[in-house]
Amino acid sequence: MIGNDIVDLNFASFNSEERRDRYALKILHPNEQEFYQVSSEKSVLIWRYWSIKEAVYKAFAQQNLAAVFSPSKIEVTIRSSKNATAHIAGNHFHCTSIMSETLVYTVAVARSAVYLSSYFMMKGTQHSGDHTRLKQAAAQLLNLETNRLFIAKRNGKIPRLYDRKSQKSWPMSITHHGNFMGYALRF
Amino acid sequence: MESQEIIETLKNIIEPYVQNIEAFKTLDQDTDFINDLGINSANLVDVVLDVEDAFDIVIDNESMEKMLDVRSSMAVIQQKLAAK
Repeated sequence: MIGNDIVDLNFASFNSEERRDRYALKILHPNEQEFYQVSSEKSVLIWRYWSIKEAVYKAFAQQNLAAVFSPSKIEVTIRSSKNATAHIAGNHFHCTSIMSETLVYTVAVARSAVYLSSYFMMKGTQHSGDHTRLKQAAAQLLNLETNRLFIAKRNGKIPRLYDRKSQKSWPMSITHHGNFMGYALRF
Repeated sequence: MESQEIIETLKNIIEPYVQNIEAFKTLDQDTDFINDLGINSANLVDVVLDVEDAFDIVIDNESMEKMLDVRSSMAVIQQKLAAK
């Protein structure tokens, strides 16, 4: 199980602190409220929580197709500036986030796993469906030719990377928001 | 409140978050916010906050989860208005 989520902070501003705090009440688990309330960096923290919850949900939904995204039911514990753990319906996830002035990006995995993850800026906000850059990066890592690889979506929403020749496949997650796109591929 | 009035208010709320304008033009009860209109999931929470303001209601997190398409959003709004 692997999930990722990117937030383009240029597309994620609140027009008031009051609005931001109301948003927080909607998405945070009761046990996260206090951590949020005393934080001096609420405007980034709220998107870190969001990105973790979305990534965890996407990982969880790979094996639970009927799962409904309910951010306040995913309980996140921030461990460090990068790491967090999260629980959803009795399942445990490790989450690693990258934060900059322009984005927050998180990858969630069920247990320690080897994965390839990257994000990049797109031209404009429309994402193309060809995922060339992802396939090139994966091909390099797997030492295969790019044209052997293709991505297909199970049930129309769960993406997976396939190798035409060996018939092997790998779980993956794709995210886009604003001008950014990210992918995570589990080996 | 008439359901026509509710749907018009709802349309005004979701419009700024819509990415697929063509689907928005033909919006009906079955229109799905994410799959049809291309609304980003983070903006679904904004829709809920805007709905609270526009209708002067409070939407609990259980109800929020259901607001993924026009029909279910209308149902939540009508239910909350009736409980006022």
